[in-house]
This record gives sequence, structure tokens and C-alpha cells, in this order.
Amino acid sequence: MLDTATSEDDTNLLVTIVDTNPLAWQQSATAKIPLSLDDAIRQILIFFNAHMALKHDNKVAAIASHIGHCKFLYPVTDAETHRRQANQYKISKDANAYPNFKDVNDDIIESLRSLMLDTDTPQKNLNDGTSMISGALSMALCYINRIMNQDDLGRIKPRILVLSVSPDSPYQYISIMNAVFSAQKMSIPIDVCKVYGGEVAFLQQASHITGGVYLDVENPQALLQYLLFSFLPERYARNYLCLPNKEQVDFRAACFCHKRIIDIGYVCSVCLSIFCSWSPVCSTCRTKFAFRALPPLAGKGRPAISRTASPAPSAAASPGSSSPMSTT
Amino acid sequence: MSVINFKTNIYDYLETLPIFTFQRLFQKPATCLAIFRLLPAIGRQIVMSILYVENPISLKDIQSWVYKDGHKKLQEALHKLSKLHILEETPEKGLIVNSTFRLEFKNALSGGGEHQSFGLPCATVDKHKVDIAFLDHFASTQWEAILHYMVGTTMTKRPSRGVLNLLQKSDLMNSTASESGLHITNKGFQFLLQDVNTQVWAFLLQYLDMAEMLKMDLVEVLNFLFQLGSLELGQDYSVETLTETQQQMLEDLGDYGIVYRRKKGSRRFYPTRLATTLTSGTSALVTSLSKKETGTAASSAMIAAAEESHDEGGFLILETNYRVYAYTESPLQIAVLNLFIQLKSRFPNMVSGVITRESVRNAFLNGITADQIISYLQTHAHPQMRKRAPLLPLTVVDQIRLWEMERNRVEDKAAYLYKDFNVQADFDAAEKYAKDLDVLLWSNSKQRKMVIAQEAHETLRTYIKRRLAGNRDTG
Amino acid sequence: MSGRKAKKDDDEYVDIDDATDTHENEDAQQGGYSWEEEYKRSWDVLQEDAEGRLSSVVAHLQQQMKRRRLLRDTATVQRGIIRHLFLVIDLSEAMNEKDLRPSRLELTLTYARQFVTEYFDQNPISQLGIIVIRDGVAERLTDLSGNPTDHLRALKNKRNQETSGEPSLQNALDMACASLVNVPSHGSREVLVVYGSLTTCDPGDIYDTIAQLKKEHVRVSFVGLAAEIQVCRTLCKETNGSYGVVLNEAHFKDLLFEAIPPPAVTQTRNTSNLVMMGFPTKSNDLHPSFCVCHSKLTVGGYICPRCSSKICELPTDCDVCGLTLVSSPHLARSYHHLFPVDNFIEVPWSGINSLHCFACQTAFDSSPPPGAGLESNSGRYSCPRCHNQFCVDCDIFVHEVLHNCPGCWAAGSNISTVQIHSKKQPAIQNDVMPMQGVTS
Repeated sequence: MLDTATSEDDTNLLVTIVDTNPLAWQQSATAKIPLSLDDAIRQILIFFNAHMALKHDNKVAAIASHIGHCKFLYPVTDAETHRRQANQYKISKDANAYPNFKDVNDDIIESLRSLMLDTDTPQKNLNDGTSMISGALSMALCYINRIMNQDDLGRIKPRILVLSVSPDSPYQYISIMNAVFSAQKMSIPIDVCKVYGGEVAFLQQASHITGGVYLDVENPQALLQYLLFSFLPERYARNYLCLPNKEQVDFRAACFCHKRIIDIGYVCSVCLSIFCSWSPVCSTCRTKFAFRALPPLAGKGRPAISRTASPAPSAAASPGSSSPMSTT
Repeated sequence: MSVINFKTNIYDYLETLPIFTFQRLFQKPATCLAIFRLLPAIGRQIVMSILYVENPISLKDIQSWVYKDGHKKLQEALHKLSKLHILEETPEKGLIVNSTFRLEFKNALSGGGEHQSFGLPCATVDKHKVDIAFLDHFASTQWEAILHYMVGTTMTKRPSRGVLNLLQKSDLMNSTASESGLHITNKGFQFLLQDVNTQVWAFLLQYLDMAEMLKMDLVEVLNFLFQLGSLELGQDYSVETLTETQQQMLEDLGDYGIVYRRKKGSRRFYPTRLATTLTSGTSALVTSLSKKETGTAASSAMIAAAEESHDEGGFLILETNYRVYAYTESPLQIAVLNLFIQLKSRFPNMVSGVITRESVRNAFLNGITADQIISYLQTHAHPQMRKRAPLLPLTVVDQIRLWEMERNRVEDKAAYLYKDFNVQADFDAAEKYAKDLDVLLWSNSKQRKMVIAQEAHETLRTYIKRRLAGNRDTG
Repeated sequence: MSGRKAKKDDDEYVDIDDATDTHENEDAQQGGYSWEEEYKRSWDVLQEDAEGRLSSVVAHLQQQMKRRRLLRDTATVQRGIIRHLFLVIDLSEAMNEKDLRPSRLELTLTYARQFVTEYFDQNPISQLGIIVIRDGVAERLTDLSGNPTDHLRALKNKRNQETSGEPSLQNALDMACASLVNVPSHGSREVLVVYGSLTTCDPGDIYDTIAQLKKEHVRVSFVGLAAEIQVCRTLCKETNGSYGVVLNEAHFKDLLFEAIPPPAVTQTRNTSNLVMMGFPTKSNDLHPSFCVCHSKLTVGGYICPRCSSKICELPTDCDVCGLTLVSSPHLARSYHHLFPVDNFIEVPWSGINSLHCFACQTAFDSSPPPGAGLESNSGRYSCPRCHNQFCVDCDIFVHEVLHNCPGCWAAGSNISTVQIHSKKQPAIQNDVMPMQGVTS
């Protein structure tokens, strides 16, 4: 349980993926407990500042996961910095703000502004309106990979925080999972803060697999308190703090044919598609299967139990999962 | 290592301050931020967790946030928090963040308020603008001039009166009757081996002590020091927002190389790297004059940071055969090395030498301890050495420690000798009692003699008396 | 942490000889033996640059080296994701040779442990068994199973690290074959032999064994530590396996790890099948109960959906009813084998379109160094689909670890990405995506 690779002297790198999907934020702003993107960003920036306040050398990076594309909000590239300086976007420094905080905040706000201005181009509305979480995760991991390569002493301890508002998009499943497994390999926790919208199974699995924190925000108005309490602790402090976590993560699968949640299913040995009943041809990869009425049970020499004999003892966990085999 | 060092230094100092001083300190967000960073990790997290909670939180609730094996750390953190008056106890046994601290720390996070505590950059362009390389050069020459003076190299000019005064006050140097100048003390030698950040803080803490004597307002001095830590290198700041005391301080800090002003009475000042790293504890080394400034060329903040941590000024290579290669040309560093290394040869960019029993003993005679030598070698290890674990060859480290122990073979302690016990049982009981108290220095059961540390004499005597009396009663 | 460090050192180490070895091998195959070739002066490869420094040349060589490992076939092929592999380790006297440092044996065991971890990482629903050969006898350390910890424990056991006597190839192969004939036909049957000896001490005719292996469709691959042996070559050729003899320590690892990605399925015979699998639910019981796998009292675990017995870890086969138990992420772990990322293309200076790496934001050089032509490599690599440009580090990271092109998934081309997948797997409809957890 103890993350022994961490110490109090670590530099913490917080890579935050902000879901900036305008459609979802629109809905969030008109929900029962409303939270608009502006309000959220204001609170998120304070959260960033709090992270940087924890330690002098703590770093942040922010990536916008927008509809259709992702973009680094911070750090910005050299070329972009020069452009901004040339256009006098940088407001003069003032004595009331810590310069480190202010630079980061200004950069992020400016990046967001230009992102939102770009969004109105019509071609972007062609897609199904989901945000590109998988792309953002991939970019975050590449970025972290580079930072860690440069850090000879191994003092930088990265983590990823996803602030999600939009629902899962099924076609990103593979790429999200690829990213999650890479993160697991590099032992980078992925924290997920669901600011608005229903549960997201992919991200739930992501935080579970990587040992991150998953939290559903019940009162979006108090987003900052959620962030400070649950997502601020650095990896060293997490060894000692009880943080909210999803006890029950649903790892069961849904079949491809009827999208039903199943306990026992048939998996194509070639493409690993899941089906709830046996069929001679895989509908995903068109592989024809050698016909066998009863698939042998891995040579254990036991009498094959009929497929219909599915006691589904744990079906009580979810009403939709009862007797998935009945259609066979 | 260095981080811990200076953190404890300031923390120890702050702890001694009375509560109303804190109330005034907390009025500046920059100070709040700096004090906040002195806390241990768990303490920082707790402050953050309840910063935006208006109601008092019971201790029990806070304890429930922490796993069992973290409770000790939590206790420690809470203790520090209350010592620094950040957490206060309400009459209903709840804990709440000090209201001033809460307000101003929130301001620090959100950039609000009208406190001007992060330094006011000059609105007009400086006609005599200086760049970062110049500031680094300035800082290192000023600071090294002081150190040079301490080790007695004659190549730099004499530091100003204020500095000399401070050196004397802090007992780093003292004047002997026979000679006219100042002489470095044992404490001074130890001082030389510390890293720059600790040195600067040691200096500043001494300055704080003096400030009280000079009737300067302590709070303003502290506020200004913490403010310096939050400034940006290479930016010029206006003196407008500073109080009179603080303007007066500028002059002294200029002598140490912490801030740069073109001339006395100038309306603007530049913080140097010594200042901007005051509260961060990272890479404050300005000693390497050759340090290349990467800030302008670096592509992003992250790269700059990575590079900074990269060349943390390490220049020493220590081999298992006690040879030391130091890639430095700074006469100061060579002089410091000379304190405990027998230098053999000198090249344009490197000196080499050997650690010998003699050279290390010389250092010990100067009051330097083995731990200081080892930590100096550690903090100044070359980046190539840093890739190794352990950092320093164990043989050398052990040997330095052994050499130190060699010197400590005889130790004198005030003590009492107990002898002439009539009964062996009495002696055994007394011996055991002394052992339990951990005051037994020596004992011989056959001769029934033992030696007890002086401070425990009274307790042991009464114990033996009681025992003898008891024996008499029963027997 | 130390693992990462060590790996880094590996990367930084540029062996010029190694960098040129590939050509050497090709030459050697075309004609003559390598010792007949002219003595190669590897230092001639290094050329100082305009400023008289070697660093840029070395950096370039490093990049080449890194990329060379990457270029692999990305054509979509059917792969046998469900594998059954026996790792056969030679423990004869010949393994005590010190020509590989620290010794053949120690290196083999170290790599074997890494192999086991990596194998299960990339093939989560596959099985592995370990056989050792010494004193002319084959000994089964572990049976085919899906639990890496068992194998690692067996490899760490000191008793299993002692060498003695002659090896027997035939005994080992017979033993492996006997176990593999029982596995269901949808899974692959493979044997990987790490062989240090130049001889084998067999009870019968090894060609009979080869014929038997061929009949049972067992693939045998060899990693030879000493020199090429004819009978091994024949064996690999007959059974469609691969045969390699190690040149040095790094090459050993490369050869061994080649067996980690699942092999392509040969089209000659239809072995694919639908496999019945269970997706257990996590038990949240607060009171400890006995698990069937270790017979110990544990809290939590997974419940087999068919027989309701409690299992500690996934993936595994239920000890009571034999059902294969997996969780959906385990299946997802294998998907990148099915949808590999295309190799990135080197971008010449004339083709640059960005000043920073798309993924990690590293700044690129904006103009070629003096002396380099417009067609020379600019240190950028672009994805053939989304045309975003990446740095070499990201290129390697994307292909070796991440298996996602950040550009394709982030650059506003998600519609085309869906089409990419549909092209590869024509039958995937946009609404039915492989494997998803419980959603909506």
C-alpha cells in the first residue's frame, strides 16, 4: 500500500486534463446545482495555485480535452509565448499576486480564450460531441514521459487529474484503456473528478487500475473544496491520508450483440469480442469458428456443465445482469 | 538536506515569537505563503483541506482523515501548526484556521486584496537595466567577499562595517587582543561548510536578532525577507511600497548581495538569486560564477527547472582511494576545501587532492565535525556522482567517521563513585536502578564499585538509602 | 525506481559495433563468413561535426538505434491472443560458462524473470509453464497457469538454479508436447527453449519428436547461447518457430523478448473458437472467508459466476469449475496487438510543419544545422494518418508503451479514426465497439 518511492522532498508534477466540452458545460450551467465553465475555471485555478503553494518546485500542466481535439493549456510553447508577448496579452505584473501563480493563471486563461474562439468553426460540430479524453491522456503521458526522462535524479513524481463533465464515448474505449495501462506501467495515478454528468465507467476503471482517486462531485458549487480535500494531496502524503475511493468498480463486461451486462460470455479467440451466445461466425472480425456444440472445458476432464446452467449468484449486484444466458 | 536545514532554522526562530507578532505577520500574504511552506507535508494538506471551511473541525474528524500509521506524523504536524498559531482551538474543542491567516492566505492563492506584499514592479523602464547574469555575478561577488574575508584570502575588498559587525555578533569571527583584525572561530569554520542557503539564513537570523536591538520593527523585517523570497529574478521592483525600516534594510541586504541597487537612494532594486531562492531551498548556489543562465533560452518553464536541478553546482568527485577532484577555479572553494583536504595539484579548471588522516584531523581541530565534512561532500557532489547510490564511497565516509571517533577516546564527565556496599544484593539493586535510569557510567560487580553521572547522584542516593532502611526494617 | 534508472543507462549506452551489426549480418548471409570479412574499424563510423565535436553524431546514432528497435510490421494480422507457452531453460553444465556476464545461467534467469512479467503484462489471458533440463532429465517447475507470481517464485527458488550434467532436448520437448496437446485448439501452442549446450543426450530419435510436434502444431523457438546447432535449426524450421543465437547480452534480451508479442495465426487451419469466460464480481464481504486458490482466510476477492467459489486474483481459471475468469480490462490489455500504431515516418527538413512535438511540446530545432541538407532527417517523425510531428522520444514511447497515436486521438480527426478501424476490421460498426465496460 505504501508508495515507498516517494519522499517529502519530491517535486510533484500535476497534469490536469480539463474537459472543456462546451455542450456538457452548457448543461452543467443550467443544472439543478449550476456550475458554469467560468466558475469552474476560477476554482480550478485556485486549486492549481494551492498545488504550487504546497512546494516551491511543484509544477502543473493543463490539457484541454475539447470536442474534437485536445490542446495544451499550460505550458505553452515558445512560439505561442512570443506571439502573446507581441500582442500584449500579458497584463502588467502587480504586487498583489505571487508572480509564479499569476504567470500560470494568465497563460491558462489566455489559452482557454483562444481555444473557445476557435471552437465556433462549423466543421468541429460534425462529430458526436464527445471530448477527446483518450487523446488528452495520451498527450499527458507523452509529456510526463519526457519530463521523467529529463529528470536524472528521479525526484519528479507525476500524477494525472481528469476533470470530467462529458459521458463515456464507447469508441475511445481501446485508446483510453491503452493509456490507462501505460500509466499503470509507469506507476502514475490517474485521479478522476466527475464534476457533472453520470458515472463514467472507463474513467472509474482508470482510477481503479492506476490507484488514483475517483470522486463524484455532488455539489458542483463547492468544487474547490472537493479538489483541495481529495485531489491536492501529493503522492507522499497519500501514504498517510484516507482519500475517497470507489469501493465497487464494475469490471463486468457488456456483450457486443445486445449490450447486455453478462456474467459468463463467449469471447472470440481472435479479436476478443464478447458475445452472450454461441454463434458460428464472429460478427466483429468475421472469423468462422470450428463448430463445436459444447466447447470443452480446458481439458480438465470434468463433465462439461451445460451453458444454460448459469446460477448467476452475484446477479443481485445489478438488476440488469440477471440470467444473461436465457436467450441461448 | 539543505531544505531541511534552513527550514528548521527559520521554524525554530519563528516558534519563539509571541502570538501578536504572528497576527501582524499573517497580514501579508507573501509571509503566509512562506510560513505555510515551512510545514511538513501532512500539515500543509490539513491547512488546505480546512482553509475554506468556516466552521471549527473537531480533532477527531481530522484524525479520521489519516491512516493509523500516519497518526504520529499528524500529531507532529498539528503541534507545529499550533506553535505557529495557524490552527487555533475554539472553546468548543474544535480546530479552526486563524482568521487573519485564512483571509490572507486565500488572497495569496487567488491573487486578491490590496496588500502589495509580492513587490511592486517598476512601471517605468530602467535606463540602466541589468540582466540576470549581472545579478548572479553581483550576488556571488558580494557573498563570496564575506566568505573570503572569513577564510582570510586577501584578494577581495574588506566587507562593510555592518557585515563585520554581524560576523562578530554571530560569533563567526572574533577579535583577539593581540591582532588587529578579526579571526575566524570554530563556528565560522562550520559555517563555511554549509550550503549557501543555510549560510544566508544563518546570517539573516542573526540580522533579525540585531534588528531588535536596533529598534527595527521585527515584523516588517520578517515580512520583507519573506517577500524577497517571492520575487522574480531579473525584475526591477519599486521601493514605493516599502516601509522606512524596509528601505533601511535594503542597504544592508545590498552588502550581502541579496538585493542589487545601482546606487544608494535609487528608487528601484533588483533581487538576486540569493533572494529569490530564500524560501525555496533549491539550487541557491551562486558560487559557480560560470553558471550559465538558461532562463532566456529555455523553451519552457519545465525545461528551465529541469536544467536548474541538473547543475546544482556540484563540482566534487570523490573516489574510493580518498582522492578528490574538484572542478572549480573559485579561490573561495579551494580555500574551503583546503580546510579538510590536502591539496596536491592545481590545474586551470580543477584542483585535486587527497583526504588524509592529517588533513581531516586539522579540520577537527578547527571545530569542524565529520558530519559536516560528509554533508559538504554530499551537497557539492558532481552530477556524475549523483547517479551513484550511495552517493559517496562508503569506505571514505566510514573512515572520516573513524578518524573523528579517534579523537574522542577520552571523555570527561562529572561523576560520583559509589563503593563499599556491604551486601551484594544492595549493589546489584543499585546497579540495576542506575542502569534503568541510564546514568550508570561504569561498574564493577566484584569490587562492588560503580560510577554514576553527577546529575543522578541525588536520586540514586535516596534510592539506596531507602533500600538500606527497608532492609534494616525487614531484617 | 532503480528499474527505470537501469533502463535509462541501457539507452544511453551506444555501442557502435552494435549499430553496425545489422549490416554485418546481412552481409554474412549473402556470402562468406563473418571472419572472412575485412576487419571493421568501427571508429570510422564516427565523424566529427563542423565544430569538431562528436556529440551530435552520437546523438544521431542513438536516435537510429532507438528507432531500429521500433520498426516492426504493423499490418493487421490475426494473432493468437490466447497463448500457451512452455519456457524451457537449459540447466546443464554448459550454462556455467561466463561468456555472457555475469554468467549464462544468471543472465538467463534474470531475463527469464523479466520475460515472465512482461509476458503476462502483454498476454493477460495466456498461460505459461516452465520446464528445466539437467542431468538428462526434464523437470517441470510450473504447470501451465496464468498466475505470474507462481512462476516467479519457482524461478527464484535456489534449488531450481543449480546446474548439473547434460541436457536432454527430447525429454523436454516430449514433456512440453504432452501438456500442450491437452490445451484447447483455439489457443496457440508454443515452446521457447533457452539452450546453452551444444549437445543433447536423448533417449530416442529426436526426429520422431519433431514429427510429433509438427503434427500437434506446436511452435518451437530457440534462443541459442553458444553456436548454431543443426538439429535445432531443423526443429525450428519444421515447426515454424524462430531460431537465434545471441551475440551479446543485449541481443539475448532482444531475442528472448521477441516471443512476447502474440504470434500471427497461420491461416492453414481454423483454430479460432468462441471461448467461454466468466466475468466475476468483486466480493465486498467484510468478514474473511476461505478462497479456493490458496485455502486461506481472506477479505474480499472475486466470486466465480458459475460455481460461486471465491478467487483471490484475476485472471485465472476457476479451481472448482474450470471456467476462465477475467475482468474486462484484462481483455482490453490485449487490444493493442490487434490495432497497432503505424510506424512513424522520418521527416526531412523540407517537410517540417511544426516547431514543437505534438505530444510533449518539446521545441524542435527550427533550421537545419550547418552542413545538413534539406533532405536530411530533422529529428521529427510524423504519423502517416494524422500528419502530426513527434520527437523521437515520443515516437518510441508511443510505439513501445502507449500504443495510441496522440495525434490521431487528439487532433480533431476522430471521425477518420473510426474509419481507420473500420478499414482494418471491416465488420466493426461504428456503434458496436470492441469491449466496453458497463456504460450508460
